[in-house]
Amino acid sequence: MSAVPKIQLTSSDGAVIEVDRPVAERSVLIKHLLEDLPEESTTEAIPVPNVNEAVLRKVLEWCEQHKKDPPPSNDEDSESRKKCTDIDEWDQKFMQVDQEMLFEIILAANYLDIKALLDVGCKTVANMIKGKTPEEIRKTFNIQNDFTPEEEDQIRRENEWAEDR
Amino acid sequence: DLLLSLPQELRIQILVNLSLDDILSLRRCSAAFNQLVKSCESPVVRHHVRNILTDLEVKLYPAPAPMEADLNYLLNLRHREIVVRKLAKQMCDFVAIDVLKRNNARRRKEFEPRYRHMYSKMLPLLLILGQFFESFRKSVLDRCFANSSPDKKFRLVPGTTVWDEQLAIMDQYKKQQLLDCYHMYGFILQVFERKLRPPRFNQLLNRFLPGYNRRPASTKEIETTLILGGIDAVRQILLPRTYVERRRALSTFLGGLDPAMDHRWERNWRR
Repeated sequence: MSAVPKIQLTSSDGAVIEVDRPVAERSVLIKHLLEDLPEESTTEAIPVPNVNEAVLRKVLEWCEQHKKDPPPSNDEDSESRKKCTDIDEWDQKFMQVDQEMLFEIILAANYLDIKALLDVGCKTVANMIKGKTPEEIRKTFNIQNDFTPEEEDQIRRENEWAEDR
Repeated sequence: DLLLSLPQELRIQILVNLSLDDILSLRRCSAAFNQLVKSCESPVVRHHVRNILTDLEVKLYPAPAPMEADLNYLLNLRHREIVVRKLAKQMCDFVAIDVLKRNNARRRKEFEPRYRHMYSKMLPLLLILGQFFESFRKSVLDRCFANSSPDKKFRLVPGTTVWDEQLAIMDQYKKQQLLDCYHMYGFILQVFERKLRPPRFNQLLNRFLPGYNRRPASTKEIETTLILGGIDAVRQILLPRTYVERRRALSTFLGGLDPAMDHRWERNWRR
């Protein structure tokens, strides 16, 4: 019996991170990469040029936690995934990071092709919007209302058509 | 801006996790967010058609082609849903209060389960009737405007093919639903007529109020309201609590369609 094979990843800022191969293979990108590499060259570090060390460590932490999850089903939009909007408890805690980190994780998950993580990330952002007034959303994302009064009025009227008054 | 910096497919993935209400709030935030919502309209509509709208809604109001799909489709459907829910409540209240005299809280509470059952049965029927009147109105108006000239007095032309037009619309509904819809229609008509008929008591006092009309609404007036206003007009006219106010609401609605009474009549017709 051999131990779990390990591989190395290099982040965009040059940090080398060692990780169990099955954990790293949660990323479809890395999985395909490893499949294409000849056996002996898997000892070399794989560069991940779009993700910095902090984010990569965070992403691998998620992969470690979810390494036993069943592989994602391949069909375009699996119904079960779309229907449930709630996020499991561990993931919720995991996603309690500042906004910049959250968006970095989403981008990294997208680049590394980790569907489930991407999904959790998008849902977390959606939850930051859900049930809020425009004013509250502006505060959340720190943006300014730059509509002219006429523009704002027009959208308000369009919205009203579909609101229960 | 972080949200805006995401690539398009990720923005879409976030938006399909939001309800229509949330999307409406989002687009009121800023010009950039409004633009973001606009750029995702087509996939958002597709998501709602597949996962959120009911089968009946999609069948009655087929989704627009992907290239033309915009939020208006969803907004209009939501508007119809609200109208249907409100009218269903009015109809159920009529049964509970006017017919069964469930006037106090205790008697209302006893009636609650049956009330809810009745209410949920009415929703799909009202949705179908609403669509029927929308379609029928459109074909009637097309004919009327085709036959009118600026100098001729414009009126509702009862075409010779009315029956065919109605049959053509009804053909799209399931046969089992037709009978239920017919009953629902009869019931709405009954409530509408009843509510626009002067109450038997209190006449002497009411008679001196402005807008009081001793004559019950005529069949023609009710017909015109249904054809041109659909169930939304019925709902709005039934809203006020007193006969006098309802009668006035009917006159206002009909007056708005009369070239002699309202200069915006043509717009009101087309609306």
